[in-house]
Amino acid sequence: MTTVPPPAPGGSPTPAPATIRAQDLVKMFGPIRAVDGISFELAPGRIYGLLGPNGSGKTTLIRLLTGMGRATAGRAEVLGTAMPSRAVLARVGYMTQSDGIYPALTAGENVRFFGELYGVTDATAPEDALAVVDLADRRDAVVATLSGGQRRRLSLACALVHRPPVLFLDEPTVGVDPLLRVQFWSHFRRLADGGVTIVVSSHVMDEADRCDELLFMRSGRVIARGSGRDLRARAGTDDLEQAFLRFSGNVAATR
Amino acid sequence: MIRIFRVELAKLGRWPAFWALLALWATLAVMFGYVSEYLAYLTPAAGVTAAQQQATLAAMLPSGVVDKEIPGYPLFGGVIALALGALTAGSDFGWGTWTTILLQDPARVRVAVGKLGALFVAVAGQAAVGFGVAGVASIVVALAQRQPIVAPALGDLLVGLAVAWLILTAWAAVGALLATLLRSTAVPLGIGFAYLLVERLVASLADRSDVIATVARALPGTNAGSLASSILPAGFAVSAPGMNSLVGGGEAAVVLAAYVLATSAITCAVIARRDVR
Repeated sequence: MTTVPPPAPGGSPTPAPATIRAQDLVKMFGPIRAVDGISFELAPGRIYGLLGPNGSGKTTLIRLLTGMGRATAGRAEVLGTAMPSRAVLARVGYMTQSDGIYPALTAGENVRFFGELYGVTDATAPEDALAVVDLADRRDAVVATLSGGQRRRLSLACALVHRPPVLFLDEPTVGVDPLLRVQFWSHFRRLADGGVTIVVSSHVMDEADRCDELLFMRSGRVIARGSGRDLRARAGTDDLEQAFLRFSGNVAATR
Repeated sequence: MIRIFRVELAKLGRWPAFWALLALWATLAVMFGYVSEYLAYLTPAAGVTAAQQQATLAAMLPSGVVDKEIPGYPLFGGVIALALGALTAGSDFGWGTWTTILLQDPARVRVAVGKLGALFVAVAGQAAVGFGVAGVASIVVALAQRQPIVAPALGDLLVGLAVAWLILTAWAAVGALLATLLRSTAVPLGIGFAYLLVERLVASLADRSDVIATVARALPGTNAGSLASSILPAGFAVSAPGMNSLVGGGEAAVVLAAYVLATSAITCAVIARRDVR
């Protein structure tokens, strides 16, 4: 079991109840432990980064937390409810690694369609979501004519259209140009400031400092948790990638 | 529900694969129903009598569109409809859109029903396209041979369309179910096409064994062929693949409708229960 406590509060007020909680979470694929006994609590209004190489279990963990997959053992809770829960699903936004949008529809039709799925009745919500990702002027463009980066932005708009309090973003900035990446993170920050809990998976270390807290993942385990500064300090390096490698080395050495 | 149905229909309308299948179907309908027949009429084989020639021409005229075209629906039309069903339900797996849909539990059945509804409307379009291109081809034949252009009886045309729609809908529903169960398009297409061949084999052996005949009478292809045969005039000779008279028309219609309902219900149930308890 890997129990990862949050970093020392440093005199902060009493922490809010966890939005997301994992307890001894295990997911087996045959003999492979894709998620290997993970436990943590994630507070509301913060951005958490799941960092690790491909195959470290980030996407599987997200699938367990969203109820898309069933844990072999352990318990996942979102908004105080054990997952998978049908009631909680409507309050979760999930941007998958694939774009997950309809290539034959326009950008606007895609957002409206997914809004309909989420039960969105506010007619302005699809337009707001498109504006957030800077695609309002492309609302009538068929997806097949959009660039790769624009499709990622549209995919994000579809995940945001119902204004969920919990947002899972699986590699959200892949294929997105640097300028837009900055805009993405600015928007994530605004959402978090508004109380949204955001879990971002990535293997891009230079984005990690934009997260409030990082969870380093390797071989299905959370091998370290803390802010970027804290993790660097604990690893004795100024470089986050080096920090990851040192924590990885420690884990390998203890196995 | 209505909005999802509309979006699904719009998706189909803008989907190149849908139009490619319709174009293929239109080509098949004209080639097998008219082009090959008309070439045979223009260059008759030795021994063909004038009366046979006249009958061949008469069958190709506009008044005979339904009788001429309906034999193509059980097998050739069925293949296209099965492919359409498999692509419609299976492509969401390739696009990654099912992931988002499955996350939205309350919307799952609505999406499934909307998708199937749009598919069945699209299949009605396929039924109409077959008769439409046949109508155009028959008018061309009539003009080329200086024959009167007489439209088919409206009742016959409506019955033909209804029969064609039911046959195609049954196959499309089977295709959608296969794609949903197998979460893809390619494998269901392969299995579906292989099944069509196997079913043809079973039906061809029906007169050799009571057991095989009983099995054949329960299969969708047999009932599709029997339903199509049931609306042809008595004595109308058809040798098109898939046509048979193993089952009465009424019974065949009920069995096909049951296939549509059962496969659709299973598709919706699978989507409703998948992954999330």
